[in-house]
Amino acid sequence: MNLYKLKKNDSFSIVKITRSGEIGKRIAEMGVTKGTRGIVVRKAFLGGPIQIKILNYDLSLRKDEAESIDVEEV
Amino acid sequence: MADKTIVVGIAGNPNSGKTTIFNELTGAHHKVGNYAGVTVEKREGIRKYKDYTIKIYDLPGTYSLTSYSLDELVARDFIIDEKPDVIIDVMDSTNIQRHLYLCMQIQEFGIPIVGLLNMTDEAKQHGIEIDSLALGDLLGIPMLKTVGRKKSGLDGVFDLVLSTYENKNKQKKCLLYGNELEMHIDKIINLISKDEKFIKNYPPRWIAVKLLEKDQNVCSKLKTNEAYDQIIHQKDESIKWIAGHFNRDSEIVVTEQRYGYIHGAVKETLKVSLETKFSFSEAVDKVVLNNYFGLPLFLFIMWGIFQLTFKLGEFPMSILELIFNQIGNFAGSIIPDGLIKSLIVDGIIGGVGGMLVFLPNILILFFCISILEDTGYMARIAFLTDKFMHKFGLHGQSFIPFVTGFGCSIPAIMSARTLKNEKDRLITILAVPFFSCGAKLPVYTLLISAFFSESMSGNILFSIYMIGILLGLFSSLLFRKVIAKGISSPFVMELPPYRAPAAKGIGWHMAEKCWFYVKKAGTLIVAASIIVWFITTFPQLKTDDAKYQKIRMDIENKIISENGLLADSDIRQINRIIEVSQVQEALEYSIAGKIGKIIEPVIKPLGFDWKIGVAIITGFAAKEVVVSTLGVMYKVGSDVTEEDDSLRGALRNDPYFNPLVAYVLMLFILIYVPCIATLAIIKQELGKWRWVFFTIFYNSAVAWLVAFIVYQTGKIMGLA
Repeated sequence: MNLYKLKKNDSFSIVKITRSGEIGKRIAEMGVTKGTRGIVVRKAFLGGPIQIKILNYDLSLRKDEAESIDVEEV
Repeated sequence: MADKTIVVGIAGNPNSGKTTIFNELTGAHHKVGNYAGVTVEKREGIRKYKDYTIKIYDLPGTYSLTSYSLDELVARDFIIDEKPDVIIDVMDSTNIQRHLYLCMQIQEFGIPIVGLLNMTDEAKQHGIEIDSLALGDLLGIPMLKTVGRKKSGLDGVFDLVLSTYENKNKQKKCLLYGNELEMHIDKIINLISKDEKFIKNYPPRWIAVKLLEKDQNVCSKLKTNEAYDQIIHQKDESIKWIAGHFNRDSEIVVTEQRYGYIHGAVKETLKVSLETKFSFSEAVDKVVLNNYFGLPLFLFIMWGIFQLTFKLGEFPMSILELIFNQIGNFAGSIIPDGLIKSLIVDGIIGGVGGMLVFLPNILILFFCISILEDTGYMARIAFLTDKFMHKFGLHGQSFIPFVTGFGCSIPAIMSARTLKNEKDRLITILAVPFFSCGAKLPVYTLLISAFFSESMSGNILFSIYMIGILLGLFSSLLFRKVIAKGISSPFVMELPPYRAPAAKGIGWHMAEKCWFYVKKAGTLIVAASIIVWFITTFPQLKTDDAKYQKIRMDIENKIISENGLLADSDIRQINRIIEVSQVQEALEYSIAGKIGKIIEPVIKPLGFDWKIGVAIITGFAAKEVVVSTLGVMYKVGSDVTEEDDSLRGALRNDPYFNPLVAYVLMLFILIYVPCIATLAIIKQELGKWRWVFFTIFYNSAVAWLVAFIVYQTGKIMGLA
């Protein structure tokens, strides 16, 4: 399941980044790596960005970037 | 013992409090410049401590050291080229893992590091306790707890830097990537190390790891290595093997292994004692990022900043204008009449003064922007506007420069520095001039009041602004497709916790901006002002006194025959007519006038004659000048304002002018070449003349095209 499918306040554990190249690397470097846990803080409406909390900080991602992160709900 | 000089770089993620620490460590002794060839700010300071002279450099704030962004390239080139003796890495203790990620990459260069665990007070509030000694031992990096804003813990920094420097050979730990990766790293290191000269310049382990991360920049650095072909071959093999083994791209594997190592070290040394339930930042975000209130609130804040910048700035601006007038008058009174006087008073003082009067606006705007950035609100703006801006190939943060552009393009272009991606910044800067600036307003006011009814005027003005916005947005899209190809930078953005801005930091920031503006743009402005003065002054027309004497006599005789006598007011009127005729004749004779005549065939299809051509040319200097030039060309005098009824009347009575021509002229002024000061700032901010010429060409072409279409369509529809 990809990250963008989650709803506000859902907890997740990261499985894999499916995007390669610069974007995938950038996402990983912000701490989005296998096994890292986080929570969805909010989603802007109309397909806007998503805000998640991982490693005790807030990270925002565009919809298509969030869709390239595979997660499992925990 | 003789003084020794050591070089220290301060690295860290954005929002780690790096700049505050830099300011505290260097005190007032620092200067700001740019890194060679790029507009990434370079701060350096000097501090004497014990027997050492310590040169301190503030590196750009980055999350990593890949070669995707300019900031990162600058930071790592600094480390490779300048070979600093020690790096101070400033980290935010509240989310230490992500901050350690950069730290671990720096360690790979083999340079001694001192880690500052900053913001320990905030971490404590979160219930986070870090055993800095144990963490330092584990990673091989001496650590110190600090709170930059309260200056706590900073006393020991230099001692730690010096002891680290003196024991530099002892610090030999480095991150291990696990057996599988280490095997491949070793293979590559062995090949790289065959070239002994090469490894003197580049740390082989760092190169090897970067190759596995598919770093293009490192590949090109490697070309000087004797074993280049073998290395590349091995690299490709390794990348393929890793991807197969781990079932993910090798650059992701490297990142995950790094984080794995960090998580392991942090697990043993960090304690979270309480779960915090209330977060101030989250409470604020509930309102600020609210789906319904977020955007209106932002627009209101933007409106407020706009008002502050241009309304509050008006007062000091008028004082500056007065001062420059006085200087001009004073210079005018002591320099004898003639060319030198005209050059100094009209050309140089007028030109430089015309630029410096914007200084208060720039100061206020940058004060506001600093606050937006330092508090963390800027990231929220990007969050709110990204969806819309992304449609035009832009990033959420382009919004601020665009809105500022309605006031003045100069601070708007300067504010584009908040965009960290070079392509985003380029596109934003090139699109800014389409957002109609304040100086164009007098031109619109004049033409609208002369040719349109009061009930129409609001709509006309609105349509002009809207056309500008649409052109700006669609030009951005075009630039993204053609000149800055590729996707807009990824929106993987930290939303930092809200923090109170540091007064000292903001003070420095503003002082730096001012100085940049005055120094860099100033030199170009002087040159450009002289050119505009030159083309409107030369070649000089020898005043034909006899001709004007005859004109004067004719008018006088006419008035006397009509009224029987010549009143004082009549004489003043005649003097004015004569004076304006002379100025007009001189302007017509000048290079500017000749250019106006030459370009007449080009602008004819837009409905413009050579007189408008001259106004367009003088508009290069500043858009307000278009009004005074029209004043001269229509024999009203050069000291007209847009409220002056005589110019309005003169335009209305001119057979050439009609509402359609007026509207097309407004469009043309909106779109064509921005003023010289703006061009100077584009050169300063983008570094290359190429973009200045691009702007001149592109904007003129679009202006001509739009004007042509509107005029010809209007004519067909019978509006002319």
